[in-house]
Amino acid sequence: MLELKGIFKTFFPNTPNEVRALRGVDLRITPGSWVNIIGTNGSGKSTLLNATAGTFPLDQGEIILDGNRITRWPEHRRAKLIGRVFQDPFSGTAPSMTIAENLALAARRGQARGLGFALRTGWRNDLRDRVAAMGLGLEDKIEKPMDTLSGGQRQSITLLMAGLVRPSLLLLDEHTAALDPKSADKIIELTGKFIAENQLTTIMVTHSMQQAANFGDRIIMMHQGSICHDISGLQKSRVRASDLIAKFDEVRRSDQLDESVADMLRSNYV
Amino acid sequence: MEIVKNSSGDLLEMQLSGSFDNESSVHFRESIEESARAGWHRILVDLGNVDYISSAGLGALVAARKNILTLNGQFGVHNPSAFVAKVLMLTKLHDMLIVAPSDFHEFETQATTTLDVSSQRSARVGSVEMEIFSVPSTEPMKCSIFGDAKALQNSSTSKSTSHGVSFGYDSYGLGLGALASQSASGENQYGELVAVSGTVSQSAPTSSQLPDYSIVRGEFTPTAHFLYGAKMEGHFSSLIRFNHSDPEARITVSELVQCCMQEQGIRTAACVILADCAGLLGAQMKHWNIADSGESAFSVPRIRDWLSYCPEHFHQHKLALIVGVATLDHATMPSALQSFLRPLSGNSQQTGHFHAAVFPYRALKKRTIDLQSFVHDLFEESEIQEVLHLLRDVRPTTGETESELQSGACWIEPIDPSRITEVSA
Repeated sequence: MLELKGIFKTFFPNTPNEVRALRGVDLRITPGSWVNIIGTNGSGKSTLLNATAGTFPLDQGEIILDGNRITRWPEHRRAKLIGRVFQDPFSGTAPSMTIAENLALAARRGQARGLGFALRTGWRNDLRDRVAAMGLGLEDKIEKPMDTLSGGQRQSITLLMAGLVRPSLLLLDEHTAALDPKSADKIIELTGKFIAENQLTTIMVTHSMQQAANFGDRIIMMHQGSICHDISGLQKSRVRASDLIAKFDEVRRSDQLDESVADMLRSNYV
Repeated sequence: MEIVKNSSGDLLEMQLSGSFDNESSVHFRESIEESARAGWHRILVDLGNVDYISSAGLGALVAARKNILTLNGQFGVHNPSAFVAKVLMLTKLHDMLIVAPSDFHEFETQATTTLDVSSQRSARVGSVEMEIFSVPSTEPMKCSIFGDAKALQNSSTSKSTSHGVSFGYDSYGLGLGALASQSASGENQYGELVAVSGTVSQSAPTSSQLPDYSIVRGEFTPTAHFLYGAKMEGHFSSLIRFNHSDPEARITVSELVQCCMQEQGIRTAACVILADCAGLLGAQMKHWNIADSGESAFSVPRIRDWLSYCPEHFHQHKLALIVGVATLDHATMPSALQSFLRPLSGNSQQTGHFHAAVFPYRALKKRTIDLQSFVHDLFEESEIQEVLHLLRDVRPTTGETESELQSGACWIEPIDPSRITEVSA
């Protein structure tokens, strides 16, 4: 269970560059549910994800994950509970280390990672099985350095790393956006399978209306730092990508309703 | 395939050359629709230079014939090439499609049986060209005004009362309210309403949802629950077909209604308009909360929560079904009607109120149209897309913008001020 209560965040306050990125977000995510976050550029969707991960301190509000008040926890401490996959396939892994070494590091997430850890044969076989289960044929490459892999292959390994120690929460930050369409399809399918098998509580930020409509069980649409639509249940199962695009258009239309229009409507509408 | 159009009188000849396959059939269909929209209802197709026709091409010809015939027009093909003639014979479409140009003689305009037109004439007011069809008027039209718009806006009561108003075949109306009664829906799911000839439609809470509607059937008559609104009962004795003298120019709704009133010598009128839209400008209520928050409901950003309006023209080349009331003597109108009406021009005595239901484009046949059967077919065969309160957007910074029409039909009837009743809570 993740609870976000009254989250506020303003970047560069009291300067000309002030950005009121989050303006009072309340969100409650039940265990095992998969929430997709959509919104226009600058709507606050990635900021919300980073606020949850602890990338910066909040101005106001509280974050509770599985009963832990993590609001003041630093990012590395939250990482014990939170798995993340980033947009950039080059983030989140150690490029010069091998796949097996990266996975071994991930397997010890939240534990002390001293110099004493090593890749034992038992582990190695277990990791090989897990990689094989993804069906990408990467099991023969686990001794190769990460930087020899393609973007799609890296994202699949990162995904596996994020779930190796079952996290309380999985954060996916447009993790298919930097991939070619074919790899993106492959990764999102893999993501769906992976989340279902491990029953992970997931927040996915995406620009793809198709992904938002086809995957997950709830859609949050953000606009100007707050939640403007919350689609779940039956409504979510019926929603099509075109409906979501129509909602964006609606938001765009309502943005054009400024003071001068409001004055006109005051004297003309009712 | 290439399409060359030539016209003589009211006959449009389309010369096709090349291969009439599936790809070209799309082009052909568009070309037919465009021509019908431009008012060509007699079309002769020359197939002399068509060296190949597929079933897709044949289908496009049959569909074009059907569309033009439903507009009471005339459609045929002639001069087929050897290959096309053979295909037409084998498919037995020859007799249906081929006409001799000599048989395609001066088309006799057929008055429809449903409307007994007693007089017909042409007129021009400003740049609006009109063809006016009249039937003898019977009973004068009645008008009832429900609720009070101004009282609602300044409402001090937390609960607004609604008026259940039924809409049978001979009634027309517009207002703010709901199809479902307040108690049934629980929450106040109010919106803009449009009622024409036994149909009532209501705007959806957001522009991405579909409007709802109810239609007279058997013993059932739809009821609208008005917060405020107007109902007109009776018959229209005049039908005015209109278009702008410049085919590239557009007619605003206010301009059209004022021209029709001027031509008919009417001071206060009820009207229904069916028109090919050039672009509509209107607002939709998402939900009602003015009663609770009063004036501050119109402040930004609060207004965005309950009212949807965008200062852009929408629905170009759609069919609009518009209902409205207008007067040229605002000061002498009953007060409830006064607060229902908004300025139509800079002259504060000229006021009106119009709502529109929007449908996918459908060509209107020439001359007379039976409003009731047209509207019922529209609801049954087409999909209603939006219901709007049409607004004349006048702001000091941006000037004046309004809904614009291309051409269409306007039914208009005088309202005698003595026949206006106010129904308050």
